[in-house]
Parts: sequence; C-alpha cells; structure tokens
Amino acid sequence: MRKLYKDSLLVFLRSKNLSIAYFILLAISLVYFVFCINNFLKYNEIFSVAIWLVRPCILLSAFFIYFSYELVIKMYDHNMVEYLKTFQYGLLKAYGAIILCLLTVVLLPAIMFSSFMLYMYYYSGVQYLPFFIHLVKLSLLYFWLLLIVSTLLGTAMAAKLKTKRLAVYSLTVIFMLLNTTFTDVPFRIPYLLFNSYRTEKILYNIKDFVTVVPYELGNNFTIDAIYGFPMEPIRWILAVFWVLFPLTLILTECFNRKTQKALLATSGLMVLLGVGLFSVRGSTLIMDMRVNSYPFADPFYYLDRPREDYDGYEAGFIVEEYDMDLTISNELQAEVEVTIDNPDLDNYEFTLYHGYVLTSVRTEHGEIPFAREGDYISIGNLYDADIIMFKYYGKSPKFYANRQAITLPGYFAYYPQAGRKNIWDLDQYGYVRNTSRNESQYSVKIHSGLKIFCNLAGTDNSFHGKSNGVTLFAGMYDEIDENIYAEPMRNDLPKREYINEAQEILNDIFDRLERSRPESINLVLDKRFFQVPRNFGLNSNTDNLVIMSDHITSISCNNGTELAMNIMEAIIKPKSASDFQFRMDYLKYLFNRLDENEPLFQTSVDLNLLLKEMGEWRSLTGKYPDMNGSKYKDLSEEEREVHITVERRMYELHFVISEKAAKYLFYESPQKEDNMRLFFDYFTSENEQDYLQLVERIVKEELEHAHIKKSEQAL
Amino acid sequence: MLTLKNLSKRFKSKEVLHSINLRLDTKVYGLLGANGAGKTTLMRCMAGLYEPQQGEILYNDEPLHKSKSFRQDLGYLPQAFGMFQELTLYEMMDYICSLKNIAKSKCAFEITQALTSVNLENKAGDRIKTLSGGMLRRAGIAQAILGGTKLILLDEPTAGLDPGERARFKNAVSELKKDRMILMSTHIVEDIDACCDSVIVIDSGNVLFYGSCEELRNIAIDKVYIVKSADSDSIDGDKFILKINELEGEIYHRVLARGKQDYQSEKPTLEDGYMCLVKGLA
Repeated sequence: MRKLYKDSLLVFLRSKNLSIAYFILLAISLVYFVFCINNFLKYNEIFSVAIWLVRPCILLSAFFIYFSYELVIKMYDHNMVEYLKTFQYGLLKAYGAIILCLLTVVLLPAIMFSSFMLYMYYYSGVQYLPFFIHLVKLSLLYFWLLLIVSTLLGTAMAAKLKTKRLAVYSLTVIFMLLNTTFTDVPFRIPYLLFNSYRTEKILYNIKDFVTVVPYELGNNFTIDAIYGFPMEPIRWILAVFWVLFPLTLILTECFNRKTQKALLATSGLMVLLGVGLFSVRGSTLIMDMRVNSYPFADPFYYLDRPREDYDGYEAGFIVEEYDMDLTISNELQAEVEVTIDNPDLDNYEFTLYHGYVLTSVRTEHGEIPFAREGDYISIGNLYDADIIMFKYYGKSPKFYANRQAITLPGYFAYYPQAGRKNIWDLDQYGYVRNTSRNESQYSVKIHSGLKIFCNLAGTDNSFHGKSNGVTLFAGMYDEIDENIYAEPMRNDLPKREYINEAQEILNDIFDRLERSRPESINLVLDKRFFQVPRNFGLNSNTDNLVIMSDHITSISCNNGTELAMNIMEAIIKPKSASDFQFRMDYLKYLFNRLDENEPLFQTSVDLNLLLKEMGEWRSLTGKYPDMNGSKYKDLSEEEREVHITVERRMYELHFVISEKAAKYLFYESPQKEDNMRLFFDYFTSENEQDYLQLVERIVKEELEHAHIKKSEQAL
Repeated sequence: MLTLKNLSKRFKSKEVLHSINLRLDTKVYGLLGANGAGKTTLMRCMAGLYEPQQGEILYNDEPLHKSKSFRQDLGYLPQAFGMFQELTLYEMMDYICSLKNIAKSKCAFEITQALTSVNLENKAGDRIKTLSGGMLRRAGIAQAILGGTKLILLDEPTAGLDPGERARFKNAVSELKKDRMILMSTHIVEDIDACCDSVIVIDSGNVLFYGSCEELRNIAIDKVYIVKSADSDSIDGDKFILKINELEGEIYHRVLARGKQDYQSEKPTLEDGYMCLVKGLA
C-alpha cells in the first residue's frame, strides 16, 4: 500500500494542473494567514480574526474538490479502471491510495490553520479551557473535516460521474453557492414575492443540509462569544454524513454487484438517517437573511400580527411558586409547575413564547383543555386546584438553548408567565422587558451537559430562590469575578470597579435630581451581573440593559459611566416610538457626555425656529396618520413621491428637533436643572403625553419669561 | 483450465452472448469475430468483470468468484488501455506489482522479465506519456504477465498498431505462450494465423467454430477460387467476393463459393475459412 500511496503522490506532484494549483493555493493561504496574524496583532480580537480565517473556507473546499476529482479521473481518462478491477481488490486499493494521497495534501493547510488557532489562543492571554477546546473543535470540524469532505466529494463525483466534467463542476458550483450567502437572493424570492414561507423553509433546509462551513462567505453577522462558531451536534452529524456518504458511493465502484447493492442500500439508509437526524436538529444558530433566523424571526413574526396593548392588564392572579424541570439538549424541553395564589378564577391567561410547543396542561385532577394563540395560553376553571403543570418543548431563534450554549434571560417568556404580556414592541423595535413586579419562589432543575449560570443560588444546575425572573446562561461563559458573569474572551469584560463607579455616579445623579432612587436600582452592587452577548442588540433596541429584582443583564460594560447611563436608560421609560433620540440626548446631558466641538455647540438654539420646526413636524405627522403597506400600494406614483418627500423631511426634522430641544432644555436654558428633573419625572411616570408637547410648553414659557424680563429691563 | 458452461450475458433486453460452452487449456487461442459479435463481452465475462445472467465460468473447476488463484493467475489487457502518464514505465509496473500483491523482493525481477518479454526493457525509465501507441500496448501485455500469470486475456491487442509494432507484438506473444493460456480477441485474421494454436469464432453471441487453425482453414477447401472479374458471375450458387486484385492489367476476384465450380480451387487461408463460416458458406 505504501508503494501505491507513494506513486499516487508522485502522480499528484507531477501533474502540473494539480501541483501548481496546489502550491499557488498554499502560497495564497500563507499570505492570507499573515494578513490574519497582522489583524490579530493589531486588534487582538480572536473571533473577528477567526471569522476572517474561516470565511474563505468554501473556496478552499472547492479547490480540494478539484484536486481530488482531477486526480481520480486520471484513472478513468487513461482507461485504467477496467484492468485494475481484475486484480484482487485492485480498484479499492487504487482508490485507497489516492484518498490517502489527498489526505496528505490536506495536511499542510489544515496544520497551518490549527497552528494559527493555537497561536491566537496562547497570545490572546485568555486562559480559558472551554475556549481552547472550542478552537480545537473548530479546527477539527471546519478545517480538517471540511477538507476531508471536499476530497471525498471530489473522489465520489469522479467515481460516479466519471468524465462528465460539466456535471461535476456544475455540482461543485451549486455546492459552493449553497455554502455562501449568495443563495439568500434567490432563496428569499418565494417569501418576498409570493409570501411563501414554506418554500423558503424547504430551500433553506436543503441549504442547511449541505452547509459544511461555519461562517458563510458573504455573511456579515458577528459571532456571539458565548456561542462561538456554530458546532451543534447536527453539524458534526452532517460532517460525518458527508464523509461516509461519498465513501459508500466510492466503495460501490470497487466491489462486485452483490456488494454494490448492499453498499447502495447502506448509502440510502445513511441518507434517510441523515435527513432524519437533520429534521430533529432542534435549536441551531441561524445567522442569515431567512425569515426564521436569529435577527429576523421575531421582528417579522410580530410585524404581521396586530399589536395588542396589555399595559395595565391584570392577570387576576400571581404565580407564587415555580417548580421547573428543564432538559436542554437539542432544544428546550420543559415541565413547569406553577403554584398560583387564586384558584377561583374562571379563566387563566399565561404568556409563553410562541416557539415553544405546549403539549399538555395538567392539574392534580388530570389533563385540562387549553387554547393556544401565538404567545398566549388560555385555561378555564381549575376546580380549586392551585398547581398547574405545563409540559412543552421548542426553541427561540434568538434566545437559544441547546447543547452548545444557553441564553435565556428572565425577562423573556421561556416559561409560562402570569397574564398576557407583549413579547415584542414594534414601536421600540425590541423585546419587551417583562419584569414582574412580584417575586416568585423558584426551584429550577436543569438537565444539560453545560455548566449553567443562574441568578438564583445553587449548584450542579439546580437552583432555588426568590426573584422576579430566572436567567440562565451557559456556553463559553464563566463567573469572572464575584457575582459577575461574562464570556471570558471578550475585550469589554465587566469589572467590579465599573459597577462601584456606576453606583456612585447614579447616587450623584439622583442627588442632583433631588429624587430618591427607584427600588429597582437600589443596591446595584449586590445584584448579580450578567453580561449578555453583543448580538442581543442586533435585532432589538431594548436588550441593552435590563434590571431584574436580583440581577442585571447588560450587553456591554466598558466603564462606570456607560454602565450608569445604561442603567438610567433602563429606568426611563419610552413613551413613543419617536422619543428614542430625545431620550438618548437627555441621558447625554444628564451624564454630561458632551462633545462641545460638535457644530451644534457653535451657535445657540433659535427657539422660534425650533417652535416652527415642531409645528411643521406636527402638520406633517397629520398628513398620513394611518399609513400602512396596503394603503401605500393604493397611492398613485405622484402621491407616493409626495409621501416619500414628507417621510424624508420628517426624518430630518425628527433628529433636528430632538437635538435642538435637548440642547436648549438641558444645556442652554437657565432652568436646565429643573428641566432635567421635570423630564426625569415625565419619563418615570405613567404620563402618556407626547414629549414634544412638554418641550413646546416649556419653550413657550421660557420665551414668555424672557420676553417679560426683557420688557422689565426696557422699562 | 477455464471452462465456460452455458454462458449467457444480457444487457437489459439485448442478449449479447447465447449459451456459450468452451473449454480452454494452456494454448494460445484466437477469438475471432466481427465488430459487435460479443468478443469484448465474452472477454470481460472471462475476466470476472461481468457477471453472466446464466451459466458459469470455472477456473480449474472452481467458479471464478470462489477461486483463490484466479485473480492471481489472471492477466488482462483491455481493448482501451492506459496508465498514469505522470509515472515512468518502471514506476507504473511497480505500482501494478503492488496491486497484484507481488512480494517486494520479487518486484524488480518480475518487472525486468516482463519488460524484456515485450522488448521494452530500455524504456523502463521513460514516462508513460512519451511511449508510442504500440509501446503502450506492449506495456499492457507486460502488466498482464507481471507476476507469472497463467491466464492471459488480450482484448484486441493489435488494434491501431502499425505493421512493425504488430510484428513485435506477435513475437512477444510467441515468447509468452509456454505454460500459459492466452486468449486474444481480434478481427484481424492474420494475427491469429501468426500466433494462435486454436481459434474460436463467434458471431452475434454464438460460437460458430472452435478448433485448430488448420481445421478452420480446411472449412474453405474447394471453396476458394480466383477468377477474372468478368467470370465472377459464372460462379454458381452462394458466393462471396473476398478480395479484388489487379494482376498484369487484369482484375481478379478471390471468390468463396459453396459448391464445386468449373475453376481450379485455390489453397485456402485462415481468412477464407473464417469468411466461409460467417457468410454461411461452410
């Protein structure tokens, strides 16, 4: 065999079309590695560099399909197969030698990649074993296995399609396209043009089945440090499938008819098994443009549904106790017992995210009927039972829970919560922070291979305690300081000193505002602090920082001021979709985070002009009060143009007014401290008045004051 | 040595071989037949590449798939033959030695012997791509005889060779025939005449003749006539014009005819015998 292997290698090296291409590829890879090393040394961002490194994987894969096909096809081009078959296992040995030769060819780039990964790990300074294992697995799955899969695919295509090069290279191109985001354009057409979600799902399922790269070429989403590169069990299963399936196809060529039939049957079974396992893959990280992806699933889902206003809604009962038994494998499987305080109601409403499929609801009297409508569960009379048992399974595209990582924040309804609550707020473009006013007693047992971090006390994935929500995190996640939990590889790790600083800043701010601190931020220092993945902010404006009764979740924590600002942002409630900019400006002035070199600070605000602009804004908003998609379609071309002009102007005015109003009220105005207090009260109250009305009133009053003062001075 | 019992082979609905019965020993056999007669299919069945639908092939009284020695004893040169162009002839022979499980210590000797047998010993260091078509065919024979094979199947080995190469090829076969069963398929009768002891003639998947060259030739006794073209029509009964020659300005026809004619019959050649068979004049 050694001789056959050596000769196969000689054939590869002496074939100019293969060896020259291979060495050029190696040289390009080397240059690219140097580029990546340079980037790593500059930014020390392992994930960004790793993304750069794996992004062109599919091109490498295509080259290896070419190498393997063109090497194997020489046997067919030179009519060797017929006589090789007459030797005892002759063709099998020849294939074996060629595959060994190709594996040798794979070695160099694969070793280069793995070495670079290890280099990055050791020089990053992050000494965190799970991350090291992650990088090793990344090398193994997405470089070693990918290249092995590529060589076997090329070999299998040579074995089955023989010299039909057009078919082979067409399949290679299709394979490549399916492993890039370029397919997003055609695959999204069924949904975008014909609203056919089913067709899109089928197309993307095909794509997922043949996806062998971790991070597709063309993909611009970042990677969550807690999750890392997607390496769920199904990815390993598919990689093994794509090794074994072509291998059986190759073997069918090497044996007689009887064995061939057995091998073909094995291939068929393998396909069935692969598809079967693929169909029960559960929760996976989907970062692309499809409807049910991480970034788009919930915004799209809630966009199609009329928003119901549950503000002030009372469930009529509270959950006193939760006894949760969660199994997190491919997805979440849950058995949750809730003890309620009022068993006499005729109807009980609960909120559970629509991605979780409720299989049964029981009480001590047995199974009871329930109605499910999106995120809501309706149950009738409980006949004096005070414990309800929910059994469900499922997943959320964003708040994933699988064998690789878990991100289930307590404000997200992954377990039944009392009453009807909005999960998504279209106006704010974000998840509603459903933080119950009432604390419940929790007993949570989680069956998972991961070490889970929770806001409640406990060990071995078993937690108990009182809170207004249970937050669970796992994956590349750790307690990096006492009661501070984060992904150890991130550059912006929260620190105890930042939290202390934030507490001090907030104390000063509240002293300045002459207001008592809200209960929720009392003792920030004592709350557990969970840093959440950066991608939480990818499709939501509201996940930045959430304060729960015993813990805080925050996307980033670079310093005390930023953290204090984020906490304050979580306290001041948005009143409408249009006040976002103004709230941000308010915080900027409140925390004195100003850049006085900005053009805005070169001149003072012309209040009369501001009032005029506010008037214009108001008149423009009245023009298209109930505009929606279908009404827009009914407009003529000319009317649409007018509508677009109005929209553009409103967009401009929105920023100009927010900026100027904030600057005047909180920077130029002689009453600026009073204004700060006034708006703090406004933002923390239930007052539903539009902020512009308040701004207009204050500006007019101040103009009047100024006018009176001027008149008095003149007299 | 090799026995074919009631062998039939079908491709979908087309039956290519019909109940063939043959027994082949250590001799050189020529397999004659027109294009599409079933020669290659028969060779592939004998080489174990095709599984027949009916009948069986025995090697030393054992079915092929059960025989332990068959694969080791078999040397096969297919109609279309090639080798890795990037290797030298010696490397390629060494590659085949590995495939044939020839002991490493014996490889060098076996390769030298095989190459010498086909007169290619001085080309051992040359890359395959530099060899001519004839050399490649001889290299094909060399790979077939590597390891002292006893059963050699050569499928149209002389196709496409120039006369010089064909002569060298025939010499090579003559060198090899000792203690070996060689079956050589061809549609060129002269090749058979030059180096075969026995002939098998097949037509449309049926064996028309199996015997010695002499016997095949004898089929045409008193059936071969050379007549002037003008007299050709005076031949009675079924006839077949085999050749047209010009001699001293006169056109002559070599005619195969079934019955006794008024002309002097010629001494038959193997080709005459073969044509009498396939044209139904036997």
